[in-house]
Amino acid sequence: MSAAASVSSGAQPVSKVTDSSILDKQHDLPAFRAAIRKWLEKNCPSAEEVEDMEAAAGIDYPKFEKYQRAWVAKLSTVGLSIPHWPVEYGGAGLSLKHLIIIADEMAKAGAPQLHMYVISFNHIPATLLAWGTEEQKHKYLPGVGDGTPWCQGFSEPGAGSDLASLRCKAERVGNEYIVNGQKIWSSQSKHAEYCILLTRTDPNVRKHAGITYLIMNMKAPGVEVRPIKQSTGRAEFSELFLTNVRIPVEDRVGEENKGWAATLTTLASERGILAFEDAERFRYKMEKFYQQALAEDAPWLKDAQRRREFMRMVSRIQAVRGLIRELLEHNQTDPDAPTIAPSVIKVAETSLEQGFYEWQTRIKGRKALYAEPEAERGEVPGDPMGSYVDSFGRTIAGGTNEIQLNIISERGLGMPRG
Amino acid sequence: MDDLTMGPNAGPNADELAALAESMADVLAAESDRRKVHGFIDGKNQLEAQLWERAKELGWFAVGLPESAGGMGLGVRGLAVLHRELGRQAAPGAFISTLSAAQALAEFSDAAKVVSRLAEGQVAVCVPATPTEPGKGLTLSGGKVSGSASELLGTPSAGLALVAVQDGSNTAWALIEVDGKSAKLSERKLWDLTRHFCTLECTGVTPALLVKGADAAKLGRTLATHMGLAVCFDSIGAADSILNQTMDYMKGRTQFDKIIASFQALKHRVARLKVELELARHASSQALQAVETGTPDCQAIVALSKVTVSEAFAAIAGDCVQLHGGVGHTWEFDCHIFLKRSRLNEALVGQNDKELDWMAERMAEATRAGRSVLELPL
Repeated sequence: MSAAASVSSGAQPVSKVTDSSILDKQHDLPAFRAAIRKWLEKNCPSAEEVEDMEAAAGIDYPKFEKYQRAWVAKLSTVGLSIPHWPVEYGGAGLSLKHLIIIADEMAKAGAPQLHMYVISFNHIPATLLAWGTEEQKHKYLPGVGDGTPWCQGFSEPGAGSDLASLRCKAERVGNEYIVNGQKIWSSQSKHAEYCILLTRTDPNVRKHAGITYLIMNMKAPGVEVRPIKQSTGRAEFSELFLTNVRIPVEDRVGEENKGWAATLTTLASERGILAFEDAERFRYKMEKFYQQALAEDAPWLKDAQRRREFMRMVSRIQAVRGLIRELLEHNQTDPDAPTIAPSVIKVAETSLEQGFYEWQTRIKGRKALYAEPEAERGEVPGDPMGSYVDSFGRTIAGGTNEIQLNIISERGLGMPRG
Repeated sequence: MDDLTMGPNAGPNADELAALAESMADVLAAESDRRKVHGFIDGKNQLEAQLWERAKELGWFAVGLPESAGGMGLGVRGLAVLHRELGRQAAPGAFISTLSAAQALAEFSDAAKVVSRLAEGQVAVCVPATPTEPGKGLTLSGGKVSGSASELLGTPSAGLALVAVQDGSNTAWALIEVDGKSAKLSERKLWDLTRHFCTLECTGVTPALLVKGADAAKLGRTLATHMGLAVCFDSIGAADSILNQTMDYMKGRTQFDKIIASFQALKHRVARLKVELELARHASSQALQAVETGTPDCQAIVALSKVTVSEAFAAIAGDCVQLHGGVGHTWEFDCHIFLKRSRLNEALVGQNDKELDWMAERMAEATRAGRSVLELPL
């Protein structure tokens, strides 16, 4: 959960909001939910449009970006683009309870997911509110709220799970850092205007102690973005090649060589509400698939083994959703108490999704293996193979499931490091 | 934190539940510790009878029953706490059958007398291991029950048997007073030495209570639901217990000059078992909540949860044997006690494949009626 998400204040509708019909109801949760639902009925893009957008992801950058920007612009008219941010920085200052309702309604309506803004809306406020200077907050946060896409420059070819071993070099020269190095797995960086960048400023100390956290303008000379084609054929992430990129000292987050603490804040902001929305969307996806199978009297429903496998997955998605609800409750009542729940959830949810798509691919048989146009969407019920191949992104990204198992066993279960 | 007695779902009795949970855990940890359980399965003590007496003294048989029936009114949540703690200690006794029968009978006003005996723990009850199956073996004729029924869960010293009987082409339910003459129980030995399967033989017994028609089907299903919940929570307590024991063992065992708990191959396995346990814990509490709120599909949700939870327990118990190495395969260590308990839990109520099929039917029915079985409170 991001630090920003727990910040709740007096909550005046923000200035860019032209329609306060939703924010006006924030003190009455059922009415708030009803207002969102009503607004979505009129404003949510159609299922065809959402599919068209998803089909463009990592393939047709301008088209994808247009959809994403349009949806953010629409959301911002009712205060739902950055509802959890403090009012001071352009948000609506809503509580986690509100966010849960928003995510639930968005999932239910099948609203477009803001892939391009994951870093902007979650990681940036969490990090800058905790570690940024007043100047940085006022310089960057309003823009982020307006729909400025950001990306993350953390992993390197030689620093994956062992992130702190990163080597991208930043040298202080006067009032600037000169950055040279390479970053990898930077999602949505093809669209990004800014990047949160981890650099090595002192190679002679313990690896966690020589890291400096910088904000990089993606248009700065020396920044080259080379998309990486994934196993799905899409290129949603890129490598960043940085050659003598100049970053002013005022764009440093936290102190020099002390960037690791802010890094942990950034990484911690990935859990909670995002996992909630993912799991709720997955639930609807499974349910829709089931409803369709029932309507078509699909053969697998009469195949005892396949049907039982499906029922077991139904039980698992319910349990995962229960785990996430418990984590959100924990985040509201005791946010500072350590918990391994995010790791448990990540392993359970991503393995379940992978298992589900693998199962769908299996029941579809040879037909699942055609990669013809309608299959390019990577979404059920059209293309389980695409979703299956793509699911490895989820079991690997955001801290591989193996790293999560380390966290569970070491931090949660007190097993010693090897 | 105890998710049954604290947090958003604990309800108005949260404090009472928390106190009860603590006392149950303390009493069972002291009086059904591993040394005593081993002594019991080796025939060296009377732990089963002693625990039963202790449970009686402490009023545990009244926990789940309504106050109007002489109970404590803590409902299925109170029972969940009790079963979880019994499972944690691999406690012997006919708790699942007796407590579930009491809950099911409490819904029938003409069973009031027997329910008040059950609330005091005066008598143990045998019930069919699968209460949703039609009566066979026992037949009802002229108001009397004759024949035999096998695979009853309980104890050979039970004073009552609540059984499905064949009533022409229908199934009725009969409550039989076991008098040792016209109604006799004999034991079938199980690998799980902490619980018993019995066979009931009747010759012209007039049932203490007879339930027929739609009520009979309702009783069977209600009994299955309570047994399903009991198996879920027994499994959660037991799985948590053997997993913790296994981790403790791994943290103390050195090979190749290293604590074996530091080996990543083993650590990852344990972490995965923990993930399974966490999922099972949520499957159990969702089943409990569904029954508490009486959602239309709650019985099917219990059946599905029982599959998930009992399979998780069996997977955990099995791997805990292996993670212990040689000692895990010995009589002296606890692994086999939990392993055997897990396999019996899997086989109680419905066979898991049948339970999945039944849930699939219910889910199809609900979906056709425009209802989702996946709604969870926020």
